[in-house]
Amino acid sequence: MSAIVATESAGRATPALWRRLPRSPVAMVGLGIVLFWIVLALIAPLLPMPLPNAQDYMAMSHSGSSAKHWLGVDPLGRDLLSRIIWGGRTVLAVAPLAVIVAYAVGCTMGLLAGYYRGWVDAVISRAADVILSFPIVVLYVILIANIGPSALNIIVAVVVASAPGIARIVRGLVLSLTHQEFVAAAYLRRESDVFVMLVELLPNCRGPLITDFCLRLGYTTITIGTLGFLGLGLPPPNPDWGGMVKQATSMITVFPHMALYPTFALVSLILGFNLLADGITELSQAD
Amino acid sequence: MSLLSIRNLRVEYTTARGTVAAIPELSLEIGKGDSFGLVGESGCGKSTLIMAIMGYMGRNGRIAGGEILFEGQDLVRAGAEDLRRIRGGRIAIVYQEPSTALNPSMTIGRQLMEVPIAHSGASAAEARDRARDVLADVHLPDADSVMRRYPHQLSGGQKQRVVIAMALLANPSLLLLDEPTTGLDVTVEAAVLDLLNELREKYGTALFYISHNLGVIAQVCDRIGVMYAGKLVEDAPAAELFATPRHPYTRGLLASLPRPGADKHTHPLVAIPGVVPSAGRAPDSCGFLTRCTLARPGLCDAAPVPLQETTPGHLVRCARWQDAAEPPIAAASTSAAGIAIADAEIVMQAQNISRAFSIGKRRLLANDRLSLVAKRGHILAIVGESGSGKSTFAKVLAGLDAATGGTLQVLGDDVATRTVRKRSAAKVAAVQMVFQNPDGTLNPSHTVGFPLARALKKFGFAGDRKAIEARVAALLDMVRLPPSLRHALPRQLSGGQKQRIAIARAFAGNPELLVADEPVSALDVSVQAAVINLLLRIQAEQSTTLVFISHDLGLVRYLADEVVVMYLGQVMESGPVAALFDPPYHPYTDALLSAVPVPDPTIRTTRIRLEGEIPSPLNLPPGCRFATRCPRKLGAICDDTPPPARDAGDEHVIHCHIPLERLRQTEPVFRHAS
Repeated sequence: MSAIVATESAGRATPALWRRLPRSPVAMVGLGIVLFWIVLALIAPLLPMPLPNAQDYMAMSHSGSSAKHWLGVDPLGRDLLSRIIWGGRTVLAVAPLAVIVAYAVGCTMGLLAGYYRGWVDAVISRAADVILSFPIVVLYVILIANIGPSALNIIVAVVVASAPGIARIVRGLVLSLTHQEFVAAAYLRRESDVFVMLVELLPNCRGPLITDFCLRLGYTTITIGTLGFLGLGLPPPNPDWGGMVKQATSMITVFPHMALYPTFALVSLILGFNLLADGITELSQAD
Repeated sequence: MSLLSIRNLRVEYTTARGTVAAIPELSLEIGKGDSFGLVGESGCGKSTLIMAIMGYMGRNGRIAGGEILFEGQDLVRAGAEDLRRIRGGRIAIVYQEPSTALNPSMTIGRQLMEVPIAHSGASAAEARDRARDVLADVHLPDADSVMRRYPHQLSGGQKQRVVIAMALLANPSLLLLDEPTTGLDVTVEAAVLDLLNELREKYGTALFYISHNLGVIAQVCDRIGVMYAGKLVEDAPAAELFATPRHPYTRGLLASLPRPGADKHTHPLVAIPGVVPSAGRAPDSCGFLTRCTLARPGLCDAAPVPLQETTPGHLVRCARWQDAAEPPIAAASTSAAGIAIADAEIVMQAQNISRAFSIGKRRLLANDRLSLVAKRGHILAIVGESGSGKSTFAKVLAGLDAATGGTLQVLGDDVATRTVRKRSAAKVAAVQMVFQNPDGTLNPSHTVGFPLARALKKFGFAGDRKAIEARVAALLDMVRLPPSLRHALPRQLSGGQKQRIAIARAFAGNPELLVADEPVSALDVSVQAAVINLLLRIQAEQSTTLVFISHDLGLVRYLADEVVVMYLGQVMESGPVAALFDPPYHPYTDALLSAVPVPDPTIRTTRIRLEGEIPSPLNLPPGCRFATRCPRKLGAICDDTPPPARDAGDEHVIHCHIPLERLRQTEPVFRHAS
């Protein structure tokens, strides 16, 4: 309840972040790219194109672009454009979901560690250090190889790998915020620890966290692509950008388009998220 | 020929909202060896002027007109090479924050030696000798050891001395000082001001001193300029400015300062209404128009008001300066006599309160067997330098921290070791606090109304949403803020407004006892007066007991009923305010009082300067805590034995080995020069 009041009022003073977004050309370009992919993913079933798993044996002899297959077909005769668009659906569903769950876990860890300090902080921070000390790809491989590739398991892996980083940011912010006098003022109202953490501290972390959220969407997109490329992504025949690149690598010198188009898709979406993050940073620094 | 001559200077900044003139038009002259003081509240353009002289305008600032002649050369049009030679050489600057002026990764010696090497091509050996000499001049004993140290190994006062030494090394003819003592303790400030006066005599350096504190300016400057909204509104010899201020703004500034000897009953502070307009927003005719009680339509808002000479050397920019001369500053004598001290009920009684922190294996005693009493409806002031343990006690009292020893009776219960979580709701509501820093006191994510409504809810205010809203509006009205402000976010508020909200929040639960920890020290003088008046009014109306923590003895004299002087966690002296400000004094009180910068050149103060630094609370002197710095130390007894409490009558207690009879013979600190 109180949190809602807070966000409402934030909108009243200076316009909310999304209203100020048009002031930053960088952010607008990023947002444009991301929206492009979101719209394509949403209307994918309505587009007049073959289904992503439908094979066109006739097209296999001429895998390049044609009137029927704009971007050509893959080694199994499946339409590349359709697979890229349907593959976008997976990425755009799995990446935000994974990051949101990672945020829920990371913020909780960071709040607890920064607020209670002492042994709580020691346990949480050391656990985070252990996870962060693994090279990230190795960590993914270990996790997915053990729990098996699926959309849910990708989310689990992303949460395990990202939450410690988020927890660190939140912990640092909370450590400096708890010395502020408004926190003491909350104690003088006999507020509970949970209230202080969620209503007094967490809303003041949102500036750095919004930027980090967009960046992390980009990283997670990379992760999903990497996992697909390593064969740890969505199990076939699901369209998956990383998986498409992997499938085409063996014939990359003959049919480069089969690997290039999904790579472009991946790169553009990541670029979109990163530009959005840059733009938001720029806007928050202009305040 | 004058040393620095600024003629028709105009400084503009390009902002998102267009070009604003931070300084629309300014002229002033400083002669060789002069000391000129420039006062004004924050936002008046003082620092912009300094930056313009130094040529550090930033990317969006520019000098749009006029000239700055220094020793005959125009700095506005000078080339980069000339400017480099002049800056740091002929003109040196000392900033407010000494810790940022020194490079933390270089020793003091290397930083000092750089100056003669860069400016006069001295050899390393020559530079070292020069540095050593200057350190002696700024009274830093043991120059060699200081030169080997890094900035973090020096105290704030020592660092500021080093910065001054560095400025002097190039033998400048003009020294710019931008609030050099703000942030220093009053005793350290007094020593730095003495030093500046001494150095000016020795080196013949002209001083251009910028401050918001008229008391400090009065100690150092012969001539004073008052700046408002980027314009010089008054320029006069120091004595004349204090005796016959002509501009309503100058008069307002003086009226918002407590004068020595005055208290809240005889001379209430008069605040200037309104706030300083943001740069470029002030009316062209007279910048002060919107806040002036004398403003007359058709006269003051017609054409730009020129600087006029009232008497030779006294310039004022006011169309009505003749009327402004009289009547003298309204001193509405409310003469509400103080409540009789003896029969007031005791609300808070601390006995032997200690607060020890463990740092590794060592113990830091922030409060050491502290005993004091606050009575209903009274104002108890706790004074002392930073590190004296005032704020630690405030936290224990409010329940934000727990004492490690002693008893603390608040409204009949011992709460010494009970923090807010262990106190009952009623007790928490009864003891509230107002904090020092206006920027930290409100949560930047929440509207102003949120903490007020929340406090009402938590303190069991019965009523629905509407009733709470009405009560929030009433609280805002109590602190003289419009009810619509409850939807505002803290960053839309000025510092004074934030402190008002903090006061409203503290009074939401109808407290019996309010702890105010330096509530106005971060505010400008005119705002300070308004907030103090407000606090005193509410305190008197609700007969709340106020524990007022401050380092500003002028303010304490003005508002307190009883005073406790603390040093290193212990009480040195306590008693009714009138008794405390006249002999007998504790030697520490004596030194504190004599360090107060008095905004009145006709008042002479005894000059007592403390030697050395406050000892580390990790390594406390075993006898009298003050023995290591006491100018009246008797001998070994002070070092070895804790001093007895000497009762000077009327609840006035002095903890000192010196017999009362001798303490009584001390000369009063403040005397009228006749």
